[in-house]
Amino acid sequence: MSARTDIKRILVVGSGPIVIGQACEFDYSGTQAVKALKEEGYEVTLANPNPATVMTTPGIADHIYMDPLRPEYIEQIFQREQPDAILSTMGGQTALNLTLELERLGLLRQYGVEVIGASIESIGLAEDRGSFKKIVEGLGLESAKSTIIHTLEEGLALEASMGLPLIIRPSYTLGGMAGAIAFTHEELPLFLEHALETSPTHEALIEESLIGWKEFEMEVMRDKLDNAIIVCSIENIDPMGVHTGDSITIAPIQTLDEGQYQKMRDASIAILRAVGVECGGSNVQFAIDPKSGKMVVIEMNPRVSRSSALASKATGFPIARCSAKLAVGYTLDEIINEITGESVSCFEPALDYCAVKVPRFELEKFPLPSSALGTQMRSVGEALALGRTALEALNKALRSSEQKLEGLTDLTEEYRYGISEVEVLLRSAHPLRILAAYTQLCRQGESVASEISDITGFDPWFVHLLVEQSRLDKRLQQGLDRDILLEAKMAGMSDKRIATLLKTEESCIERLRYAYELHPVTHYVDTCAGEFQAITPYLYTTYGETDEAPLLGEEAVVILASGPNRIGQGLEFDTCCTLASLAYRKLGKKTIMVNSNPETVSTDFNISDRLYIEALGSEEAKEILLRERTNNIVVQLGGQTPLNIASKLKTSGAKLVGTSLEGLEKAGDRGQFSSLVSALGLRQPKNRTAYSQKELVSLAEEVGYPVLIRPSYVLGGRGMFIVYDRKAIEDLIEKKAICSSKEAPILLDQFLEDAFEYDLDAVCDGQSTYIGGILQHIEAAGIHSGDSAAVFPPYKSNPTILTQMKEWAHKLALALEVQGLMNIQFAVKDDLLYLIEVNPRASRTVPFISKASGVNLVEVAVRVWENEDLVHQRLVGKKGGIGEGKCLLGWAVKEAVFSFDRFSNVDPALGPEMRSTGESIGLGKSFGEAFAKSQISAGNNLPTSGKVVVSVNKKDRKTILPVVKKLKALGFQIAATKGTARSLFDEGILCEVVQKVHEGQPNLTDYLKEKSIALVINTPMGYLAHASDDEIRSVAMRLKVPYTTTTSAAIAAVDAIEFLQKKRVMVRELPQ
Amino acid sequence: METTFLILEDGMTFTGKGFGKRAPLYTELDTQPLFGEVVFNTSMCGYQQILTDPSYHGQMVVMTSPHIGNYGCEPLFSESTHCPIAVPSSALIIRSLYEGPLPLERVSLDAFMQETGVCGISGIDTRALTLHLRETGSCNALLFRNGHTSLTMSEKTQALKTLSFLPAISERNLIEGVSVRAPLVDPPSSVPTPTSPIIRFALVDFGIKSSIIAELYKRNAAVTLLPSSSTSAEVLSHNCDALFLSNGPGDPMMLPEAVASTKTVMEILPTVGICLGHQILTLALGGRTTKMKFGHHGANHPVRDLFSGRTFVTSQNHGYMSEASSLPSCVLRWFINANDQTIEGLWHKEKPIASVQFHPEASPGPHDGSWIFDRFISIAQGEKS
Repeated sequence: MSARTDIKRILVVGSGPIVIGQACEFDYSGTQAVKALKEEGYEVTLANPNPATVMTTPGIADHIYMDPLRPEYIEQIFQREQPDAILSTMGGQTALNLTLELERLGLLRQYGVEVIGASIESIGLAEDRGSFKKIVEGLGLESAKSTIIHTLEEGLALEASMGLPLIIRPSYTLGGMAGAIAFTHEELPLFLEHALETSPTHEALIEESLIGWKEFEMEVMRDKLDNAIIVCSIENIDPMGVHTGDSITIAPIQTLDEGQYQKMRDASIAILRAVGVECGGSNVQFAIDPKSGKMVVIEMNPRVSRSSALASKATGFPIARCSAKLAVGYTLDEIINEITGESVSCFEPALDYCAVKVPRFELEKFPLPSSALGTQMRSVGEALALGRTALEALNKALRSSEQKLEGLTDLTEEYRYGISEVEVLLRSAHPLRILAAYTQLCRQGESVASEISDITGFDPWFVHLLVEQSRLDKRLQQGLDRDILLEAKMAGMSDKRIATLLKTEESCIERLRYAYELHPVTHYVDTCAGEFQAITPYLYTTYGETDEAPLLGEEAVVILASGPNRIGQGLEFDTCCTLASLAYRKLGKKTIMVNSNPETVSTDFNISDRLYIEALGSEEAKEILLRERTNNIVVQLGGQTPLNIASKLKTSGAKLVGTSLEGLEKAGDRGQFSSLVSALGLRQPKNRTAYSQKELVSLAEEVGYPVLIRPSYVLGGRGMFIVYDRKAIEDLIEKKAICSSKEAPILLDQFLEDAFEYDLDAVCDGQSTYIGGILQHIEAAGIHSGDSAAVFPPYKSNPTILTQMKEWAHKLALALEVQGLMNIQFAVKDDLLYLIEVNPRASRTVPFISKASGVNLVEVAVRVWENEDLVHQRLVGKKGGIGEGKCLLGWAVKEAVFSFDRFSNVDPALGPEMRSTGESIGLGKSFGEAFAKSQISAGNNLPTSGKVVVSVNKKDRKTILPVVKKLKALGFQIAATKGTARSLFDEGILCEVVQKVHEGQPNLTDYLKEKSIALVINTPMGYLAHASDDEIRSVAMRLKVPYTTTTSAAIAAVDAIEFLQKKRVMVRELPQ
Repeated sequence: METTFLILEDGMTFTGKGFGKRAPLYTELDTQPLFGEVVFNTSMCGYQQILTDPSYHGQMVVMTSPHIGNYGCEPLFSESTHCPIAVPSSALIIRSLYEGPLPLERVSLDAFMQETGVCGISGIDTRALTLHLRETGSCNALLFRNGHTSLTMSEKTQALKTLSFLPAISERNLIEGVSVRAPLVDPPSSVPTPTSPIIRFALVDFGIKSSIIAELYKRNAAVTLLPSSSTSAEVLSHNCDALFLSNGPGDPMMLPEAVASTKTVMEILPTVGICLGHQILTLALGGRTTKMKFGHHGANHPVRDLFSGRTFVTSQNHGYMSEASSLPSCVLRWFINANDQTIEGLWHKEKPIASVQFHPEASPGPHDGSWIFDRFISIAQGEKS
């Protein structure tokens, strides 16, 4: 055993809030690392200001700090916890950059903290594109022709020497951020400028275009004795030109011959050696010219990454866990492979299945630019599916991505795309390109296969998969017998897909399948292609083969998780599922986790008694229940995904754990809910439901403007609008932005302008209610709750109203017969309480409230399900009573974090549709401290001096006054746009006047570009914001100038600024 | 309608689709049964190298990787350049055969196997077969076809009866079929023959993989390829600097003459060996070999160098192994398998004698053990421990 004994305390750095390119995969790897280090007896301190994570759950690490990942805060952690080492490789680019910063400031040396995982030198070598290129060439390998630039002029000069297109990659950024492909002379300067602005070192690499080349990734591990292994090889089905995070990928590599593969393997290991990665995992990316076979090294990441999480789930090999062990001195051959329990980790997993990943996009929220996908990652999540063949895995993965794709499908048939649209999709790096290729094959026949390969850059091997599917489709259409049905199931086709193809009902195919006794079988993910017996329970299903796993029986409970990350349904829900599994197991109950998201902790191999990597469809869930011979299924923890199939599961005889289907439906059905509200004597904003397009206008008038309009049953506020007058709603109808029908009605609600919103999370056992906490939103009503900063406990709220909220919650919980979690949204306007929404399920805020209050609400709910009532749990004094959680550290602020900077065409103003990708937390003894920390962690750089520009709409001009006065008192200079300046002058405040964009030059954006502005307070008018407001916010966002879009946020910001001016840095350890 | 069947000694039967050369008909079972020991290989790449590896003579190979044939075949990938039979393995058993387009210079696996006369069966549950072999151990199987979609009871009974008459792998002399018939100085290779070699090996051919010769040539070592039946006098008559015992198929205990000849030669010349060569050397040194349950066949086996403490990933293909307890005290374990601790290499304490069980020439598999050839050459030049 060679674990180091000279270090005792280790600091693990997390990756902070979730943004595109850095998501919950780092919760997965960080959690694994913390557990692996604790197992070895180290005292582990964790720093991560992301409240949604599993890793920050009390009990996971010895000490948890949710303070900003900034040197001044880390220095305090150094002082308090005196770590001997810092593990920098588990927190993505954020942790690497922080480590480099700590080194630069001399803090590591000052406090005697050693960097473990990847050394400062190797991080520098791998991350600095110039040095990395030298290393590659030194090894006799090739890299793409490229030049490093520091100025716009240097970049522009390259057009002449290298030609277009050119790839622009800023140094030290995340997920290819601000990277671009310049196809035209006009684009080049824009992209160059953006890249140089974004790079922290104002440096970018300009590279020859390898668009259309085949792209590969190798996940490599190396230890201090120079033992090295390839954990997983990954081939991108989408060729070069699409960021690997946005590509459909397959593991293992399928189209390289032995010689090519071994050459790539040798190169990967040689690169790790040369860079000096000697105790951990890295990812190396390659491109191969399909014509000449020439191999080029693209880049490497000397840390765990999204790819390593994917590789871990694709192979069963826990890369993060092993990396952590290597970091403290173990060698690969000393680490037992936990999957088999008998082999060692110094081997290369052998796969006897294919693992396909399909990225998930939010095309409605973040439309793609005209050039479609590029070098900058834009997907928000991903789904993984395993199948015995590539076709099976591909069909399953497309279905798992929950983008209404049932697998390979003809776009013109199923989705009513026009033929010309398909042509366009085929020629652009679009997420639907593979389906466009399939459509062309179906429509034009197999003879176009090679042409399709040429156009798309998909290797002929992959196009042949599509050919196989089209042949299978044709045979299915010729008649269905057992053999062909089995073949279809073996190819990963869902009952629904077969039904659509044969123009029949899903239930008919299901009945036929049952009659033929065709059910899925399980295979173990065993890392060794069957050579050793697997002892951990990681499974996938397939058809027509041997069934390997014994059934768990009635004692087990199935937990449906939340599938691929998307806006509004992400890490928070996965954390709930993970915590539920852990809680159940603590109580001695067996758990079966079902999920398709490879980035998560819930899909780690030792979280549950059994893990299925499967799509979260009703077919899959029903088959798993059937196979495991259990009826117990939890649907209230994974967000909307499991709830969508709850009724189908109920119909087929499943027993939903906790709140009944009736309770869920009553809360979700407007009519039923409204009657309940009046029966209980509660208050709700006026509301109507439109079942046809015609009714919309008249119902809106009945409710009275402003009206909030939204489709029923959606999560994250998709398709929501606030309309202020008749014309606005007529416009929306004309633009077909809202479509109302009997099947998909539209909901109309009185919009409570200037109201304050609250979120309440509770657990009910059927008799008593425990209020975990009440969060007050800092942004005004109308901004989606997921996008709003919020504070726990409520700030300056009327205590009578808060009491009323608790009473209402209790009444509702009893009326809906809630068993388990419940979330309620309230609004308060003119001291009147309104009920906005009740959801008898886990909410996004459950992990936040749990951490801030020190009560794990998910565990409370699980105990309730296992018949331990709230009184027994000592959370409620007496039966039928109400209990309440408290914020342990004084104040806890949650701030939403956005990835707007990846979408230059998106207006960052907030509205009723949720667009944040993650959240940060700030804990403090004062509101100012908590809010300030939440802002720092969210990446909002609140100033302590300088010039503030105020531009607010008419109705905000009164409320903004105290803010401006305070800012002046705090020493800020004030500038304002004309209208605002005039009203300030009327109140005795004289300030500089700046022009709006359309008023001429120089205007506000010019000042922003000059960087002479420290803060922008800009409230837009309603939802139909003016174009110049848009530009102000976009420019501010791009230049990282903080801006607030509501007066309440401005008030909070001023509190925080006041705190920051005192320059008091104080970390707060989360009580365990 | 034709269907191809694979039936194991214990009656386990798989129904699939034939490819490559057509399997014999059921009616031809008596006259020309296609049989062999079934072994599984977990390599994810390199099917042609595996198929043409003479060590697989007498064996049917199950590829655990589901997609086979993805990049076609070409002569350069074959390991049987010096073997009288182009494809020495008896059959290839796979889950899914790729039948789509290939680059112009490649032929499909199906066509390659038709040309070289090897039968294949696809579309079977290779995982079930692999798990079965893991539990029960490698055994003989029969591959044949009939004209309908299933196997009748009587056909199955007859096939099992045929199987019971067929010899086990340990009873078969498989070497003669795959060894050169006459000595061959500087056999051709994909790598140019050394013009001024630093050393010359007398390479006894028990079914050598072409890559071994290529690796030696790359290091400026010349080769005289000798038939497996060569006596010690014959070996010595070629005036080589060292003896090299090649890989090959089957049970080393079937080769007492080779063991005897080695015993004599290794007293005179430095001696090295790979795979079967390592096993023959074990026997010549007075040790024993035993049959393994299902052997090691794959490209991901961790091997620990007991001298340096390092572990590296190797390519392996063996069903027999040296027994640790049988080794004389003059021999050290050089390498062991990090998974099951079996012997992967020997080192003689006093004499320039060493061997490895795994395949440093890889092909297919990782190149991480290629340094072994440098050590072999240095041992051949007289290095001692």
